[in-house]
Amino acid sequence: MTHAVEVITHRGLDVDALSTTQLRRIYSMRQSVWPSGEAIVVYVLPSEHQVHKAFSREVLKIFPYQLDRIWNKLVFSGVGKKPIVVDSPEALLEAVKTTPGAIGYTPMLNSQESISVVKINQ
Amino acid sequence: MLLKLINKHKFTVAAVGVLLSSMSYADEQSFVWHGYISQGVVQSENSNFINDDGDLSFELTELGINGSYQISPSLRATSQVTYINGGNRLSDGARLDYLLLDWAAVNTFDWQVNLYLGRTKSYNLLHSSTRDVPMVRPSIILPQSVYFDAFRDTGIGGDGAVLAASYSSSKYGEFDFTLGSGPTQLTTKQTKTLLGELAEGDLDHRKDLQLALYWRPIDSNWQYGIALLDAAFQYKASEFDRVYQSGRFIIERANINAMYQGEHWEFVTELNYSRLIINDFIAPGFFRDSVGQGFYSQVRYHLTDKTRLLARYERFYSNRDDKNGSLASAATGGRVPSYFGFHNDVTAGISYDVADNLRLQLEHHWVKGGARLAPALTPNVELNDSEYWRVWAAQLTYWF
Repeated sequence: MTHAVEVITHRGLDVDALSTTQLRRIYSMRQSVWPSGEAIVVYVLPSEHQVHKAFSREVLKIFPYQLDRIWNKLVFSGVGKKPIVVDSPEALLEAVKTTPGAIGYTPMLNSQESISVVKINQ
Repeated sequence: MLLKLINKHKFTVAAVGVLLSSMSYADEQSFVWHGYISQGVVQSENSNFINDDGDLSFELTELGINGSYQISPSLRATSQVTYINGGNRLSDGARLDYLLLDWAAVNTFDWQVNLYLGRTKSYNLLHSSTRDVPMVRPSIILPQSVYFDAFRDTGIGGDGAVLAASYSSSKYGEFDFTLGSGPTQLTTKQTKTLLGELAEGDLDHRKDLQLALYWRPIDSNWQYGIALLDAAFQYKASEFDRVYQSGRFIIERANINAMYQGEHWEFVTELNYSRLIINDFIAPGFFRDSVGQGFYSQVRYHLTDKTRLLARYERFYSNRDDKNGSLASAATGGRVPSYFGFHNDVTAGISYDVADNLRLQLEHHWVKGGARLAPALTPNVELNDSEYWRVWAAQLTYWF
């Protein structure tokens, strides 16, 4: 199944596919390291951004307000961190390209040579 | 109120500022910090829930600032300092809210096991870890049937350890399990909020064992939870005590809850059973063993992305074998009216996100009964001479 939003990771990661459940674990900030032991660096767009809303609903199958609540609860109770928020899809793409261990999403996938696209298994 | 607070704690504010500025050079991914600042206005008529005179009050200030440093992929240090002022309903002041080491002992796609060591929060109930965080909780004043503010200091967290395990199954869904123990260090002010102004001794939180299990079925909007608490307190009377004796309190609590989160509608309900055993304290040889029972059901409707409406109904009985409070009243010779045996509340509220990270909340409570008025064990019958009372509140919160 193809999505309007594609999940991308840093080129150095050996991650070809993730399930919806695994992506949800990553974006709810429960899973914090890749199987290789490298730390996962999670990037998102602002909650009000249409691309973030599409990613949340279509890929994670969770409403954006639920993600906001999960992140705020983690941060203000001491048990976790929020993802790193960047302002634009361009900035998110650049951040994932240049940050080891990074994961993000993009609506404008061209033939990017220095980024990995992750297949999403249902 | 805020200026007064900052002035009073100017050295702490300066120290935090210096700390944060020195850390601003740290790796962006390793060190992060967040906070919130909130001020409200509140009024309670016909009760001393907020203040003794029933006037409009600004005793609704909440502040918090936290920082988290990732030492290694599996080890993190984090801390939060908070300030809260809520009038009579809780003990005001600054607090080291948490200061802990988070060790991710197991971290796979299916299993995560973390050990939190130090001063931790209570992760037992749906809102116990964030009850002081205005933009995370559903209302300005939480349902007192389950989140009684006078008990806040005994249930907010303490010094100890929490083991948290999370399992994800593509067939059965997600399971979260926590087991923790962290007795609270209670101050004199907190003791008086709980037991009354005439308690001059020290209350020692001897035992605190908490266990919780939450389950979210796969592809479901529902979550179900069960949470258990076993706590013990020892009161040591001082030479200035004229009313109370040394004594012991045991609290055993069971909570079951269910939550639905849909696109436009949310529903939450929590059912609480709380057994309270009092040994001595009131008088030498005094013994009382009672089970309090309460529940609330709450609906939220998302009118727009920024506007949410809230409606809630709750009931609480201090003793489920004396739901109208008549036996308890008779035991005092009628000095304490029977309506101190229960607490019923109907709440309506609205929240509006004025901007990103800026939220305005408004709510009104219609209350019958005095069972959730502080101090809990020794009701103030003079100031609470009406069975029916109301509270309204408005609060503006900014967070980052």
